Amino acid sequence: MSGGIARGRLAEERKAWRKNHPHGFVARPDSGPDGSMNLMIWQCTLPGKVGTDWEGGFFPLAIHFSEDYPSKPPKCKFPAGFFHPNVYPSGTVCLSILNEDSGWRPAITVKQILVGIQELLDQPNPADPAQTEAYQLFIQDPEEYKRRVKLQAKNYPPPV
Amino acid sequence: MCHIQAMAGVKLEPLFDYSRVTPTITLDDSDDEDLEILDKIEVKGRWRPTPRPLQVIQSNIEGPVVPNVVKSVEDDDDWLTLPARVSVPAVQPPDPHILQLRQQKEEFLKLSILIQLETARVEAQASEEMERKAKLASEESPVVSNGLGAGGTPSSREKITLQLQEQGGKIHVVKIFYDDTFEKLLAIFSEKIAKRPSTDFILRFDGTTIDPRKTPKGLELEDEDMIEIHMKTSQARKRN
Repeated sequence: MSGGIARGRLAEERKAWRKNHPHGFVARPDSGPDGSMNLMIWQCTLPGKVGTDWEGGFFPLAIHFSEDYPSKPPKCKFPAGFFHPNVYPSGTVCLSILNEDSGWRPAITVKQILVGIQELLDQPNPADPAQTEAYQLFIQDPEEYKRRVKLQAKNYPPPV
Repeated sequence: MCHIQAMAGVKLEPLFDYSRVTPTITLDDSDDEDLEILDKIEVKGRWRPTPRPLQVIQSNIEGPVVPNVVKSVEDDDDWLTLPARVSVPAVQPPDPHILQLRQQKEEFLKLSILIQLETARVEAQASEEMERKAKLASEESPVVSNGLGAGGTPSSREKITLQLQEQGGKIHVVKIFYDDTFEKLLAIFSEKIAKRPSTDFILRFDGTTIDPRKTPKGLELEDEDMIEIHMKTSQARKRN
């Protein structure tokens, strides 16, 4: 049963997260209406890095784990329409460490995924565009790109 | 000696022929002779300290039981039984030595049991001491929290270790009781660590703000859980 392996690993990930995680980050398994915990979907928040245009934004991210995790990477999704060159219109994040065929390794932790995506926010990879809007602005109109990023950060204010 | 001869004969014959030969009476006779010896030896070995007359009775009792075992062995393979028989006569003479060795063995056994008991006792003592020390240590740290009011008798209540993480990533380890409110945690942090009024801060866990009137027990927090400290004012300022 690979599902047992996935759940076991995710329980460990959750345990480790509770005891140590970077400040401002949230990562918790989804809970159903009856209060039961679904380890296969995590609702996360990642803060925009301080000192970047993303600062002040607290961006929601859902991580979907499959039964084949950790041999296969999870799928990470921002809300649909999220403004970033490497985020598909559906919200799915395009990042090498989340790609089964390139950078994914089973040892990569949830914490490393979230920190990796936080890094990606301010350092988009123009070689691997996933949406036209953000990509074209990033390449052709840096000023407008900056304005849009700051606007988006304001739309995801701190939860406090 | 006859066994060795028999063995020599057997060696020359193929395996299947040998099995056909085994049930013959001649082999059984040799069995009986040897069994007598075996019985005697066994009895001597086992019942050395008991008086001689018992041997006869013993051999009579054991007589019918042992041959069955040996016969079955004989049927399977004659080679296996051989070493036992050769070694048996050699055992016979140094009986006092065996007795001595057995006594020694028993002494060693007793010693090892004593050692085990002793080590167990020492271990138990050590762990008790550790517990006592841990208790003392945990009672020392809440002196901080006790000084801030909310006394109570600390002995019966259980404590939780919480990690307070500041915005810069700095971590402070604080121990409070499971049924203490988070107000106390905030008070400890603001007075002892931040030196700022506790109203400046907000505690957060798992993406939600902690109600200061709640307790670690109420939120089902676990030992060493990490709680984030957010500055109220700076957050508000950032928003504008």
